Amino acid sequence: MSKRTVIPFGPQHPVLPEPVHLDLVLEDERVVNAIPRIGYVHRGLEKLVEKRDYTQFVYVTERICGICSFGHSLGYSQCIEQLMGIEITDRAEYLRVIFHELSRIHSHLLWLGLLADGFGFEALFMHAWRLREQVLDIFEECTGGRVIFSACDVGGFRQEVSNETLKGIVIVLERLREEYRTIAKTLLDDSSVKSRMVGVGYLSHEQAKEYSMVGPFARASGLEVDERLLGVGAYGELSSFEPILSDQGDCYARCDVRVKEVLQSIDIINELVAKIPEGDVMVPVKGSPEKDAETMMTLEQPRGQAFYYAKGNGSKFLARMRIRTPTSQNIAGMVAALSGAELADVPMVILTIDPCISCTER
Amino acid sequence: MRRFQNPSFEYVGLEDLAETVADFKQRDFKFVQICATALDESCDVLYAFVDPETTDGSMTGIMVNVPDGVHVPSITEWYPAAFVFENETHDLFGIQIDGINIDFGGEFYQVSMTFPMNPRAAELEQSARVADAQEEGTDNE
Repeated sequence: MSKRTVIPFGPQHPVLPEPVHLDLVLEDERVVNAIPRIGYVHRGLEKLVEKRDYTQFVYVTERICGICSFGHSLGYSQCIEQLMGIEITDRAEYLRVIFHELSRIHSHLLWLGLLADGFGFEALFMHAWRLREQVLDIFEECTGGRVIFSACDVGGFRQEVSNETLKGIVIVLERLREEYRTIAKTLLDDSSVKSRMVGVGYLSHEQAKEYSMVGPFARASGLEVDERLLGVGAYGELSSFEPILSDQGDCYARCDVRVKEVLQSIDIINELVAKIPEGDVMVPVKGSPEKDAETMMTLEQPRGQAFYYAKGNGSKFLARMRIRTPTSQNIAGMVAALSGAELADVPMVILTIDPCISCTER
Repeated sequence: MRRFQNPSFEYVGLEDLAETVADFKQRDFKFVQICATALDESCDVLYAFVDPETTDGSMTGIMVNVPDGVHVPSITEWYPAAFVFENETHDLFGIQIDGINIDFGGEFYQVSMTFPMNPRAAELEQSARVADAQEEGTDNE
């Protein structure tokens, strides 16, 4: 009879850029259960709504996470606009989606680099991050910031970005697309990559549904969940949108979905730049959310569905602001994907899930 | 252009929570999240779901008012992913949730304060501890 052993994994581990702890229950070398523990860097940012008014709080939401910075400011701004019935301009809606998709590209490229680094694929790691730098250069040129750039605000988009600059972005992304295809092919066609990822960390469609999973993690198990399908904002102006899906459900499928999503984001940006209307990018915001008014909305972040809930108290300060990040929702799925994996495969399973602990520990 | 989502909120009694969630599960609702809001003498707990029948993906929120000291049944029997949020709701707001599939017993978040999002619950917890200690002291005498 095999012997059960508990191996602590994290909170400090070479493949973990952020602290999360797992107690891995092993039978020989096989994981039979994984018990997660988080909270090492919990910052209590939601509590700060008591100290920062609703216009200031957008800066707090941007700092939830460096990778999803723009997405959180976008989700928060949309939630407050929905709460107060503020309609922003069409141009601002387009700019928001263009920058949100740029954020998705840089997030996925960052993930690709981390995955390659975890593999020991140093050259791929450096190429992925070199391409990511080009997206950060776009942010810097348009807004002055590279990671946290305070472009999104309640009422619209804080920076006007000229049509010439947007056309320049398309040219940069077309160049990036060609280089990216080469490195993506290198990853996905490599026999050692396939031998470590195909069939590893498998999660079925039924499990993905049972664990209410979101994002590329769910889509790699064939679950058609993508908040962009709701068509809110400029997403509704796209000629067509189909989420990238795979029915394989393993580590390789999760990589495949994310790799293709980068190319999809470039297509979305190209289409929106071609269609973007003229006009202002900000509308004046007056007043405060009404007492006991409440609303909730969702947004597709790079790692999946994020949830925002706001409740007013009649003043400039909110009674409650809740942000539920995609990784929080995927923890149950992560535990399920780890069950049955070999101990040596645990880093690969975790890396292909792309957990964002900063978001989770907001 | 569609600018807003169109969520709906439904207030249900705590005694009806389990039945409502079981019904949602049967109707294939997708679970989104749980969060609490501290009020004067109670907490509101919001359970968010997406109805697969809606054409625009709008969410349905089930709002349950939980008076101080009252226990809440877990929904992990129907939605296993809820354990993260139920442990979080306990650790940050001090709401006692019974029957969580993975119950960390207050050790899920390593926070330096007791129930940081709900100081009133922290005071009640502290008072209960003092009362227990005093009672223990009396028994020893």
